[in-house]
Amino acid sequence: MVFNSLEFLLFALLFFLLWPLFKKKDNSRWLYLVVASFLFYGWWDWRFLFLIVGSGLIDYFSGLWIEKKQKYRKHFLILSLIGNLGSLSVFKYSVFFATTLDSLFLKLGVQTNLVNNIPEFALILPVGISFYTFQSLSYTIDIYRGRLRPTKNILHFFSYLSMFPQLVAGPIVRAKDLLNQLAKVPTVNTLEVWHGIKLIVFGLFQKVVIADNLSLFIDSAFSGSKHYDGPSYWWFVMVAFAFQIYCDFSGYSLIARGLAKTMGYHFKMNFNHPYLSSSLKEFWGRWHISLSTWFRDYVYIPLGGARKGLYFGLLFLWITMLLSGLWHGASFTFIIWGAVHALSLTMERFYSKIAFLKKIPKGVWILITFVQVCVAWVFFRAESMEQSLIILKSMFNWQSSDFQFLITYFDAMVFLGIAIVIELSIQVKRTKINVQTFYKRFNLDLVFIAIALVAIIMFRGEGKQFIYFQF
Amino acid sequence: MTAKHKIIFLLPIALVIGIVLKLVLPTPMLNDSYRDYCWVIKTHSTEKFNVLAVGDSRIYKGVNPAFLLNEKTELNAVNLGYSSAGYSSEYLSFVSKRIKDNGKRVVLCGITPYSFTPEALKNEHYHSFYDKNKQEVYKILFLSGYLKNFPRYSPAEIWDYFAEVPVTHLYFHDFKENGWVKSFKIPFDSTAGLIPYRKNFVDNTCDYNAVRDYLSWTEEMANNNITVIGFRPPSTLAMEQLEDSLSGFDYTNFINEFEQKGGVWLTFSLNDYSSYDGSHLHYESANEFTKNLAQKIQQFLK
Repeated sequence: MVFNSLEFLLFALLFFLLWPLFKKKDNSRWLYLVVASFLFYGWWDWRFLFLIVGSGLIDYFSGLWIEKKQKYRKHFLILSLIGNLGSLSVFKYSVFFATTLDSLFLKLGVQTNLVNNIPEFALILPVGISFYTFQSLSYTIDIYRGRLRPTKNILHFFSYLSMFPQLVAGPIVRAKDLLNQLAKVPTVNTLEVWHGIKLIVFGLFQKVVIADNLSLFIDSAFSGSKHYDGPSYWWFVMVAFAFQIYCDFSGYSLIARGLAKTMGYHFKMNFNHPYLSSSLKEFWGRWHISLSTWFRDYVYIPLGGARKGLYFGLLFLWITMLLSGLWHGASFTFIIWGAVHALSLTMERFYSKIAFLKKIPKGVWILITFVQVCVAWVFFRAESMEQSLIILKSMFNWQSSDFQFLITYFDAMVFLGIAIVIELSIQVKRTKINVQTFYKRFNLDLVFIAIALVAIIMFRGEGKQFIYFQF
Repeated sequence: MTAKHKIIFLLPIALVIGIVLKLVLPTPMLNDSYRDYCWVIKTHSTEKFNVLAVGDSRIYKGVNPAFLLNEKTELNAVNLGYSSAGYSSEYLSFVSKRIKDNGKRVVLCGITPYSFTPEALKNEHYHSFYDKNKQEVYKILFLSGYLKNFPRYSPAEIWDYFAEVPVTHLYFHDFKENGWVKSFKIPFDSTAGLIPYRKNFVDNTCDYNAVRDYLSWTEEMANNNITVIGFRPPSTLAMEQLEDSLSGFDYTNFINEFEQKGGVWLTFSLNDYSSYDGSHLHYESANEFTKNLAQKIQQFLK
């Protein structure tokens, strides 16, 4: 079930109608959450519920045993790691690994056919597998590190692991943040409900009005079905893609946070207007925050972080970014995407120390950062390495451009313009106190949310799956 | 204003904005909820018909069932055409299931050279609707009915409307429950389809096994007292020449064999109709063509 569907609307109405009846007692609350979440997830394919239950059971018992049997705690952590990373490897990376090995062996003169020997069940990517396995892993790792006590109640654990708002596309909520919240009877006041509604409506607006309306322009560019070319065309495509993926994913996260808030739970912000960042370091502190912090806490810092000097720090940064790329998809283009970011971050560490560069206005840095991000997105979106290189060549080939595509894709250009204006106005609102006062005085939040609600119905794009579901 | 007041006022304010916009803005050209509804009805309905028009987009845009039968008849007609449809055994079986069990029965088959190519035989458009699971079909049939009152608006259309810009680019489609799609395009360009059609036949020429299967099906229909009428849907002379030169499809042989198997072949003059892109008929021509077709099939419906 996706948030932008009529099934979900009915599901959510029914869920919130019955929620007050179940939320007061611990076991009934947890059971209700688990049943609703399994229904939500099973709507795609109920067979993959066994995967969540299976990996969840491994982590639930590993968590208990790590605390109880101190002598073997490392073994149980390894069990949890194998369970989670194993299922991720089988379902997400088996084809990638097999094709890579096949072509590697072929170069060595050995003909193998690993890819055709992968069992059929492993060829299907269960929705959200990367999200819930990471969420589940953080539970056992935190217990192992002594930062969290395991829950003894299996319903409590599964209500954390499978909670439907964030189950399939995040945010990746840490057990230490959510288990405690789930242990209490949630209370919600009208201000929180209003904030929840605002998050849900604005999230839907980002997804349905902005991201979906940009998709035709971007999809036709990458499928090669249109004959447009030239630097201006590809820069527009990449800027549009930057906003499509941002609004698609940020939209999902906002809806997830809004739903949780309306239930009485708090999820941390997952996107904080990343395209207003004046450096890539800042960008990664604002983009997919739950994943960035996950990699920081469970990969980068355990490797040694910045503690082991500049060059080791850079090495760990590269490892983290390459893994982050691989997390997004089983393809070399995603790994290169991670590498481009790692390279840019490396360069940034050096040039950020140059004194005269600090005099450059912040607006220029925001633009430079955005350009770097757009260039990296080419690898993220392209169908192949060859296509990435062709597009990049086109973007930096300073020949005269045909702007006819602006008329052909007039609608997409309008929605792209709206997305940019919204981001810039948020920047203005954040920095100008008189704008904030004006906004509050005339209750502009109510007006904007009402307009967004109308736009969701009247200007919705052609319904698309959330992009991040594939990860 | 408190949060409680904001929650209370949100829907009324949105409703007022929505109503004002609905009154002020021009009606959108495309209602995609209704479009999906029409395709699903065409594919998943179990209703059976006396007269069925089958084939590719030249058929679903070119044959309007509303003009196939005279008003007083109790017979019924439908258009079961799909984009790039090919006469695969699956598609023919789908058509067979929608023919009435008795009475006067006529199947009108638009025969284009493309409809026997491997790409056409995949019937991707048909499958995109046929393969929908029950849940999706139910959703489209029952919920799209409500959604069709909420069409999607296009900024380009709104801009042109208020700026009073003469429409220079438009591809109009109006979907009908009887399977016909009323269509036209601005600018009118009867050569526009030639380049894409030229590409269509690269490594994709006539599959004679499919032709044989189709002819067997025609014979089977004829043996069951079902009249199968074949014709080449009118397009343009340039298009016909292009298709004849690239497709590997031989109309003369086909017509001979088709008639031997009990089929009836009809021919139409290209001069009587106009195509907006070199392939599909303008809706006025489609109506005209259907009326001519209706006249020619009268004898089989008496």
